[in-house]
Parts: sequence; C-alpha cells; structure tokens
Amino acid sequence: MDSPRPHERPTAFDRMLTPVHRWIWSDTNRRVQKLLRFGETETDGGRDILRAAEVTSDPLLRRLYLEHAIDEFRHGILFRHRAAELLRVSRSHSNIGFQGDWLAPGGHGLDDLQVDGESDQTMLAFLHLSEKAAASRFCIYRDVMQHDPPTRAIFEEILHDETFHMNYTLTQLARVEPQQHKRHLWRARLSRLWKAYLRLATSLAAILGSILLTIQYFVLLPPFAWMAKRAAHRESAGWTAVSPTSSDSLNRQY
Amino acid sequence: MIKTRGKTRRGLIVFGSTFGSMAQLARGLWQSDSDKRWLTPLAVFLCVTGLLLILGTAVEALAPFIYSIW
Amino acid sequence: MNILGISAHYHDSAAALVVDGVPICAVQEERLSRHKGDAAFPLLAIEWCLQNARIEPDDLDAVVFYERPMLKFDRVLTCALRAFPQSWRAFPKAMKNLLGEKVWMRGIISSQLGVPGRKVLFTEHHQAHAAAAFLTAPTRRAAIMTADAVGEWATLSVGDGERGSNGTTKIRRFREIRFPHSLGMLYSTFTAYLGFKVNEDEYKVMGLAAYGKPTMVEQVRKLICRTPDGAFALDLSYFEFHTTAKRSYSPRFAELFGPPRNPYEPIDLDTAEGQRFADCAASVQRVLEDTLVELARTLHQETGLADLCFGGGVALNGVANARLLAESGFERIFVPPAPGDAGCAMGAALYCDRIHFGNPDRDLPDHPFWGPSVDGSELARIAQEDGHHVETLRDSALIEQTADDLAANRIVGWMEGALEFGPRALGHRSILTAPRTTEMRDRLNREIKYREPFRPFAPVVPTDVAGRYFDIPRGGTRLARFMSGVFPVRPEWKSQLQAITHVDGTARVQVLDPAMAPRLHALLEAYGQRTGIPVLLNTSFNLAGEPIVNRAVEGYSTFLRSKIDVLVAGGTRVTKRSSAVGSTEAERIREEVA
Repeated sequence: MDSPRPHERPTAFDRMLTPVHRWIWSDTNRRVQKLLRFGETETDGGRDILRAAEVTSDPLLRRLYLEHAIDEFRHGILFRHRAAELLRVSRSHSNIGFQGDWLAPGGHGLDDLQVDGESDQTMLAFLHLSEKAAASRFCIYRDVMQHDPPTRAIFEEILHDETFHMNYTLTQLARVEPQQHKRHLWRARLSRLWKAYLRLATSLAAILGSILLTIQYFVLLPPFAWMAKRAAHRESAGWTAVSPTSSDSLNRQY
Repeated sequence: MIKTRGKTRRGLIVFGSTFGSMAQLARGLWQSDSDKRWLTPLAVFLCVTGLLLILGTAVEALAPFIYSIW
Repeated sequence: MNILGISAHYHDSAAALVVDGVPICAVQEERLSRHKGDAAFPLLAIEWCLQNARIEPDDLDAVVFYERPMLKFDRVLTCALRAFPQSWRAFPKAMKNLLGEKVWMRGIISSQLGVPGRKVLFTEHHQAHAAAAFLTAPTRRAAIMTADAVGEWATLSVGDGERGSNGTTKIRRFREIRFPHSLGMLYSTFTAYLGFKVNEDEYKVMGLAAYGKPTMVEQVRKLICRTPDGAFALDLSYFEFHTTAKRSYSPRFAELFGPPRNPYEPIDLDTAEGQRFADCAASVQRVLEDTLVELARTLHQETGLADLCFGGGVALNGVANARLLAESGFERIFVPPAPGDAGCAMGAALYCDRIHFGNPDRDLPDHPFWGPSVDGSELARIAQEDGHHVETLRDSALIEQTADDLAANRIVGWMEGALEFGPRALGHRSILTAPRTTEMRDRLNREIKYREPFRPFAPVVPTDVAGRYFDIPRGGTRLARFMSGVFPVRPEWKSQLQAITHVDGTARVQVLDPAMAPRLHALLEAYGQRTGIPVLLNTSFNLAGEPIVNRAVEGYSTFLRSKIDVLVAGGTRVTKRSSAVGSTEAERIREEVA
C-alpha cells in the first residue's frame, strides 16, 4: 500500500467527486476564490515546513525541508498571480460564495501539528500523507481544468513538486525510522482522521452557535436596540471626561 | 516551568471563573456613569450563553451535542 | 516583586516581566511562534520570560492583562445594538469570539499559568499605553497622549504623568475620545480601501503618501469633523467598521473617493489610478497630522509641560511624530520602541508596579533590547553541517571584516545580543547594507524583502554626526532614537544616500547612541572610515509576511532563502558555499532523493 515511490493518483473518493469539482472550478469567481485560498494555504504550509527546517537537528532533513518550503512559497505565488490575472480579465469582485471547502480539508495538514514540538518521524509521516492527499486532489483539479490551460499548467507544475515531496518524505521516514515507519504512517492516518472529525464537530458547533445567537439577536435584542439607539442620541460627540475613580482598582474587569 | 493542563481541565477552570466575571460585569453596568442599567439583563443572559460556548471549546469532540442542550 | 504583563487577542500578543520595578524581559509572541502578528494567548512569550528570569508562575505577585475584557464586551454589545438590524451578521461572530474566550481572561490566565484568580489584574487599554509611553521615558514630568484604533471604549486620550522626587508616580488621564470616533480607525479604513491589510500595513499608507499630493483633503475632512470642544467626530455614514466585520468603509465612501484598489494588483504610480491612490494616502496622512498637531497643541497649552509621551499604534506614524515635534509646542517627544499593543504588556506591568502596588519609582534602561539573545555557536554548527563557509572572529576583526563587506556593497544579515521589543529592527536583528545607490534599494526590494517598490528604507547613523546628514530639529534626536520620526536628508548628501532617501527627500532615521548598541556603533564608524559616510541602510531582518528573526537558525534560514550575502550572529560570520541556494543546489538535492 505504501510503495517506496508513490506517484500522484487521485483517490477513489476524489474521483467520485469529480463532477462537483468540475462545477466548482467552472465559474471564474469561484476559481479566483479557490486559487486565493490555495495561495494562502501553500504559503502557510511553507511557513510551517520552514519552521520544521529550523527546528530539526538532522542536517539532510533541514535542507530538504528548506527546499520543500521554498516550493510551497513559490506555489503560493503561482496561485496568487493566477488569481490576480483572472480577476483582471473578469473584473469580478471576489464575492465569497460556495467554496466547497470541506472537499479539501486541512490544506497541507500542518494545522494538525505543533511543528515545534513534533519529532522528525511524526513530521515526515504527516507531510507524506498530506502531500499525498494534496496530489490526489490536484490531479483532479488539473483534469477538470481543460477549459483554462494556464490554471491547468499551474496544477501540472505543482503536481510535479508534490510528487517529489511525497517521495522524499517517505524515503526519509524510512531512513530515520527504518523499523517502524509504517507504524508512524498509520498513527498519522488515525490522527488525521481524528482531527478531521474534530474539525467537522467544531464546524457543526459553530453553525449551531451562530443559529442560536442569530435567533437571540432577532428575538431578544430589538427592545434593547431601541434603548441603545435612544441612549446614543443623548450622547454628545467629542471629549468624555475620565473620572479619576474609573481606573482606581486593577481588580475590576469592567 | 508552566505546567501543561489539558484542554478540558483548562475549560473547567475558565468555567469556574465566569461567575465572578459576570458579577463584575453586572455591577459595572449597574453603577455605570453612562446609565446602562437597562443593558444588564441582556449582557448577563448573553454571558450565560457564553458558558455553552466555553463548554463547546473545552470539549471539542462533543461540541455539537453540547449545543443541542439548548 | 514579580509582575507579568500580558497583551493578547487583538493583534501582536506579547508578555513582559517586571522584577522589583525594572523590566527584565519582554517579547512578542510572533517572534517565538513565527506567525506574523500572532494574536493568540502568548504562552510561548510568557514561558520564555519566566525561564529567562528563572522564576515559576507561583513566584508571580501579579499577572496584569492590558485591557478590561468586560468593558470591551460592553462596547461590542452596545455597538451591535446601535447598529441593529444591520449588525445581524456580525453579531454571532462577535459574540462567539468574545464569549467563547476573550471575556474570560481571568479564568484563561489562571488556567494557563496556574496562578490564583485574585492575582490576575486588569488595566484599561489606554492606561497601559500611557504607562508604556511615560514610565519608560527618561523624563520626570510629561504630558501624555495615546491614540490607536480602539481599546475598550477609548480611542484617544490625553493626560499627564509625574514621577515625584519622593518616589511616587502619578498618571492622570483628563479626557478621552470614544469609539467609533477614532483616528486609528480612520487611517485603517484608508488602509483597507487602498488594498492593504488592516492593523498591519498602515505604514505602507504612510510610505505611499510621499508619492501623492494631498488633493483630497477636503473630501477627507467630510469624514472627520472637529467638535466644538476641540475633539473630533467621524461622519459614520462613510464607515461600516462599527456595524459589520466585513468592510470598514461604506458605499458612500467609495462614491467620494472612487473605486477601491484591488489588493492583488500592484500600484502603478505612472498611471492616473495609481496616482489617485497615492493622493488618497497623502490626503488622509495630512488630515491625521493636522488633527494630532491641534490636539497636542491644546494639550501643551493646557499643561505647560516641555515633554510629550506619545503611545498607541498611531504613534508609529513617524511623519506625524515629526510634525508634532515641529508644530505642537512640545520640546521633546517620547515614543517608546513598542508603542502599539505589544508594548501594552510592558505598560500594564509597570502601571501595576508603580500605581497599584505603589512601589517607588525607578529609572529604567533606555533601550529596546528585551528579548532572547542570539547564539553565534548555533549558527556556526548548522552552517558547518551544511558546508557553508564559517568563521568565528573576535569582535574587532568581525567589525573590520563586516565593514569591508558593506563597503563592497554586500548585504549583511546582522544579529547580535537581545532581540528588539517592538516592530522596528534597531540594530540587533537587522539587514544592513550600503545606503548609496537606488540600485541597492531596488535590489533589496526585489531580491530580499520582496516588497512594493514605493516603500522606503531607513538609515542608521551615530548620534554625534547625525546632524551632518539629516536635518534633525531640536528634540528630534530623541524621536529618532527608536526610529520614530521622519526627517529631511540634507540636500548635499541626497545623491550619496539614495537608497534611504524617500521620494520626498526624507528618511526615517535611527540615531545611534554608542551605549545602546556598541557593536553596531563600532561598525558604523569602521564603515565610515572606509567610505567617508558613517551611515548604513538598516531594515528589519525578515522576509515579506514573516516576523523579524529571533534565533540564529531563523536568521540562517532567511539568509539561505534570500540573496543576503553575509550572515553575522554574535562572533560567527557565514558566507554561502555558492552565491545562493539557487537552482543548482535545489536540483542536487532533488536528484539526491527523488
């Protein structure tokens, strides 16, 4: 299952979602938003991998991570430039609509990690899996992008890099942990799954929380809003004298 | 050295501190120079809602179920 | 007595530790977490401060947070109510944000540090700004002005401070202007309109302003009017920051100034559109300056004091500071090295020490170097592992060698001693180079800083010769100590200081007292001996979008990713094996493992 030289290949799940991806990428505005978000994700991922380069004690890993980080920063720039080109051509004004973010959760997966506190083995296992997942999705994106050759070319170029990233992370994991590298991969898989559940749970909770607060807003707030507006009318603009007693105690939170 | 505490433990400590903070808010609004007594019930009610949010943050895995309490 | 100050949860979190009335250390969370503008609870910064001082959380007598969370909650809730029903989208977000975490600071600090809740104290936001500005300044009595976007309710405050001969300290705030009327928000709204990041890129607006003419001052004055009592009020129909989190200006604002800039398009100053944006920046800059000067002039007349301590994010505006010095009537203006929210950690701790506990006044060290120290041996080890050319030199040899590098137009990454506290690199984490040509400025912008070509670079010059190259008025040396003022370059030197002379003939100069950074001072002198001009270009040691480097390893990774020629950390000097980690090295590594 974990061949020493895996190549980019979309997973069955990603293949199944091809029509959805095709629909998402068909619209210029959505494409711009996705590219901008990818630009941010790649740059953020680059920073985390750069951090990994700074904290590892393994000289070879330091050089590889550094190369990897430079690639990610470059990808970020490619995505941003392409989004800017599309914006220029379409003159669209990036209104955020449906983005299908849940289809590509976690970016490079590094938001699951505290880079500073992780071992090289854990870092490599996470990186390998997230690069693999990214390569799978980027493969689909490239395939659904026939109508936009420049964007397709970007995915093509990035896919090439992702293959290198997948390969080096796996070979290096096997180097630093020859006996137990598969165990690390499985642990990383389970951890990713758990983190994915937590993301889903917190997203769901966030939605429920928003609904709850919105209901409160419309049910509870109107009379208070009326009073607040009335009080605001009574307030005069300009200076407000500071009462010497207002700041006499540091125990107060109000 | 700062002792590391789990998220749930930290959440419970925060939860325990909320009542004192709410009392300070209520007292502050009640005694406010700009006459904001009318805001006190709403502010306190929202803070009680906040307890739910704290619980949701402390126990991420159960967060959606905690909201269903409401 | 050990007092920990904390600022967090808005932008640029920080921690500062005051022991027996004197700051021991202070650091911004971003410098340790490596996330620019990190607003998270500053656990790393706190941990480092405690470790550095070798104390445990139990040894703390107080932990002071830089604002009153419940007062802030009152402001957010009141504003949401006033904006009903337009605030319906912003309300759930704001409440989740506040009630899910930020209002419960006493509990959060207790739970993170394990200190009892009674030890957790709170200053008001502008109280902390005022304390950071006044208590760190070498003055006994001064007027105090603070201005930023918003704290709890206050956005600007005026008052005075006095350090009595009997050791007592007083800080009084006379009056304040309250949200939503805010100079900081006005400037930030233009920052957003001009396509820059709010709370981060305000300095770009200031840089851009020099390219424009204040042709839209009348329009800007429609947005902000003076009130009969001498304060100001914003015309809220032009703004949306008080009703929604989505956008800070209203359609009416865009009608008045034209379509906003697309953040993804570069500003082309040769086009009418680019010039319009520069004119907008120049106009809001002019109005900001005029307003501050008038407020400060009134404060000067009222207090009759010679010194002004100026704090808050607005005090980062060096052009406005220079005008305040020239026109407000104050003889000296003190702006701390960290006037923004990060500095509030220090301000809150000092306020608690002097005012809350009533501890006697102490003279404080007058420098910005409160962070972790750099370890040259760490750099030597990793650079050797990677096969780069490493030398460990004695101080004098290192200074001579670096001066030779600079004279040969090499770009030097310079790390020494403790990290600066605040947004400016003041000589301990700096990129240094020759200031002579515009080519050097363009090379830095293009190959190292990767930033907009319109942004200027700052010079550093020894105090005793600063007046030869820069037109620094009386009192300006103080402002320039922490790079807080913008002053004209003397016309006869402009052609030899092209890289640091902005388009309007000014520079945000740092004048260096030898006692503050002796090695950098020695380097300036050695460079001066070689070139005749002891002035260097001094820019922060970081790449675009990244925090200033802290440890040697971070300087090293920045050095490898950019076209910095030489890296110096402590006594270690590193040059690259090849000219850069360019394609050759990349290809080699790829072939090695792919």
